[in-house]
Amino acid sequence: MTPIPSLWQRYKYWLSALLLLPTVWFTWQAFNPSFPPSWEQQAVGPFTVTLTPLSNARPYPYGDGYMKDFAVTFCDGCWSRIRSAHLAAGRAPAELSAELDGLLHGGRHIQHVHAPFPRQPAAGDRLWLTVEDWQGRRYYAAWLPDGRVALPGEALTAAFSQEPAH
Amino acid sequence: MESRDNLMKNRRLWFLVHGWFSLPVWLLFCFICLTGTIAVFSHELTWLTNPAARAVNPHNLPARPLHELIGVVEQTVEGADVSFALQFEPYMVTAVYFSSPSIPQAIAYVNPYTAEIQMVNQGLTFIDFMRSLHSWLLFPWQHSYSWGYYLVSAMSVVVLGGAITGLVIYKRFWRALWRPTIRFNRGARTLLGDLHRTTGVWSLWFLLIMGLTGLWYLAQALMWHHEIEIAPEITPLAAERVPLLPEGAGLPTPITFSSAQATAEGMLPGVRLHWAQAPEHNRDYYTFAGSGGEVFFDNYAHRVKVDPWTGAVASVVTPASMAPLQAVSHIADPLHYGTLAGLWTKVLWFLSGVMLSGMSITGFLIWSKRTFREVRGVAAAPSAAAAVPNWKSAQERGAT
Repeated sequence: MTPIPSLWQRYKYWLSALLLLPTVWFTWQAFNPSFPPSWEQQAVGPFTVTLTPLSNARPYPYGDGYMKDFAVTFCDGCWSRIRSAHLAAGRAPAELSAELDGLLHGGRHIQHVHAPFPRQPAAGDRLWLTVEDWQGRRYYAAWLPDGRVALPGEALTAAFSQEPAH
Repeated sequence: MESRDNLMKNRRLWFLVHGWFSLPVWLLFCFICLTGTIAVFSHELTWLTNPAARAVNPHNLPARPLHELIGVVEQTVEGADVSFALQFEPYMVTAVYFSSPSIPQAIAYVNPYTAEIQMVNQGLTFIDFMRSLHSWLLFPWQHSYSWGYYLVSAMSVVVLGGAITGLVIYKRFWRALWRPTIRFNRGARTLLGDLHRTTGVWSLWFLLIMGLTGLWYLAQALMWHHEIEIAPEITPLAAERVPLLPEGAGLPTPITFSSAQATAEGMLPGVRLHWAQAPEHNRDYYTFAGSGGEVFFDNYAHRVKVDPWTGAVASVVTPASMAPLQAVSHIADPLHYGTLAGLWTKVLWFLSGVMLSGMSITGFLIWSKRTFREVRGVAAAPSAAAAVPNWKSAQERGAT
């Protein structure tokens, strides 16, 4: 007499269905997209800017460090007055580097950015936005990790100001 | 006698390995096969169910250039800023992706012959949904990787492992090609076995194509994730190449889409453009890509990048100039999607997809019936017992 198969024996090959459960959730999300609240709006030089994280998740591992994705909106018509903009986390604003990581990109109404975060976060880290206008003037803004404004943009621009690049 | 026993033992082992490849993930695998099968006809299903997606051309007009269709959207939709446009089959509308002050992202369905905007879609299209569901199970992308994409492309191991071990245990499998046997009068177990083996042999070519292209997608996912170069990177414009202006000089003016497209078409004579993209930032280029009619290359294998500030050509890529991995990346999709020769190959891929989906179900049912038959007191049909080794006895030897 063959013993009655255990539940495990009977259903073990149905377990891969569990891998489809996240897909049910992601399908719901795909048809009902929602985003976390925007971070505190602030001025960066003559512009105003709003950051919206694309998720509440912690920065994800990427390359030698981490990244977090944001949507960025500037005041009406402001994006066309900007030559380059860069977002990254760290102790001080990153340079407008040759690398594309952290470079704002998209259309003139909304931009996206994959902002680099350091591998070893430090207590004084901020999320820094550096904006350069067509005359080469640079302006700075910073947010605390919880989305609040770190310091007024004027103070930061004064602290890091330099001669235009040309 | 001893060599015959060894042969049988070997076959039993191969049979077990065959099961190990597919049984633990048969349901997930079946879901991926079914969604892929539907995705083969996602364009045609869209055409059938949405009249606004049809490129009706009663006056037999020539297709308008992409930049003209882009211009129509920018002039018609208030504040529209076009990021890119995609041209599909001749019976489908051109998809023009744009944003506006009130719409973060939308697609204008533009008739490529009449330049009429037939619909503005602000949601997920059926085509994109099926592709995302099949290719990465809608798991989120984190910049350059998605765990869902890894999961799906890892199924290539299941396909190839199942196909190879299946051929080893199916003696003289090639006879099923010209003498397929499907016995409807010998019970469910025999019918399932016949269906599984026959569809396996008849779709062997398809299994190999899906397995090998899937393996490529897995390798590609690893390379994307670890920033290993598949195609030579086109360096973005140096920051110094982007204009800096004196005070009061107003805003700089990049070249227009139409001017960039004219430059690109000059570099790609005889190529039908399928993709036109505006620069995503001030150090980016206009990108145009199309097909030169090569059967095994996708619709984006000819590609030109144009400097938006000077109008100079920054790079030209054609199948002849591609690096080996880059060529594979442009060959894999037509093979995987079945778009090689239009609708006819899509039909063939769809039918083969149905067979592959069915094989995962018949394979599981064969295991289920054989494993639980004794408990249910159902006597096995003699033909079934002869066709496969005894799974139970293998299990009792501790093989599972």
